[in-house]
Amino acid sequence: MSEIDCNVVLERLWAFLDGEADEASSRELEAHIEACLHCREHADFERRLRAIIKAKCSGERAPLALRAALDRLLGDPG
Amino acid sequence: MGALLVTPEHRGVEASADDRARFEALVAEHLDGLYGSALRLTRNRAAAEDLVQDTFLKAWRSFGTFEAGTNARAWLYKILMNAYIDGYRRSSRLPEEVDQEDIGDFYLYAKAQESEQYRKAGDPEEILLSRVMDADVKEALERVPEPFRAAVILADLEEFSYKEIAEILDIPVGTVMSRLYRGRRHLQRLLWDYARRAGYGRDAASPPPKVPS
Repeated sequence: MSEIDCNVVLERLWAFLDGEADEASSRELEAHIEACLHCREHADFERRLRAIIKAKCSGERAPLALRAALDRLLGDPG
Repeated sequence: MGALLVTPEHRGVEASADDRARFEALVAEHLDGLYGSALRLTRNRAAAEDLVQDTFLKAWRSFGTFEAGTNARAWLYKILMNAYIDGYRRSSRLPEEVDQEDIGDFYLYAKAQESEQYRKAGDPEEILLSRVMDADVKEALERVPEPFRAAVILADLEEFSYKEIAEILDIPVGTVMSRLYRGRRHLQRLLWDYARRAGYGRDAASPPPKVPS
């Protein structure tokens, strides 16, 4: 079992948080982040930052005029 | 893009009532999400409405070739992105911005760590995140240049996988990653500007804006 250091965690952190690291790499990163306070704080920060960005940039509702235009597009009578 | 006054005949074949019902269900499910992404892409409500209308028109025309059970959301986003990129290329005068500065991937976290002011105030990460909460994140995102903004929208707002984004944008996965990471770096740098400005506001002689009296 290879032990990875903090620099390796940094290199792979975004891919890991994106759920894109392969299974072996994910396990290594999880184990390291679990054990290393510094990396855990960093990973938490990036997760929370991403959640804030998503929450603040989502939740738009399409305007009624657009809904009406799409109904016409689909040939709804009226 | 002008008004899209079209009739269903554009589809070429007679649409069955069943097709129409299935397509209407897709519209209902994905309209708000596509509109939100279109708004972040075009930065303009009228342009976003045009883009979404164009997207559904194109989707409806090619609905006959869409296989039920496949990833409808990714299919719609591919149509949206193609329409956006076509329109964007035609109207764009913005050169692809190149940032030479190597700022590292985790700009905000590094700034929180190195900020003397945040350290003195207690928990630097908490303070910085609360400033980001107060920041105009939408505006910051909209200032991230293309093609990096599109990658951030697809990954961080829409939560598509790298592979799905590669298919949507028709680029290799490696390019998805480099665009996404650059977009995120750019966004973090912009958010730091907001956080820092908010900080100066609070530290100045004037009272802090959001504290109840």
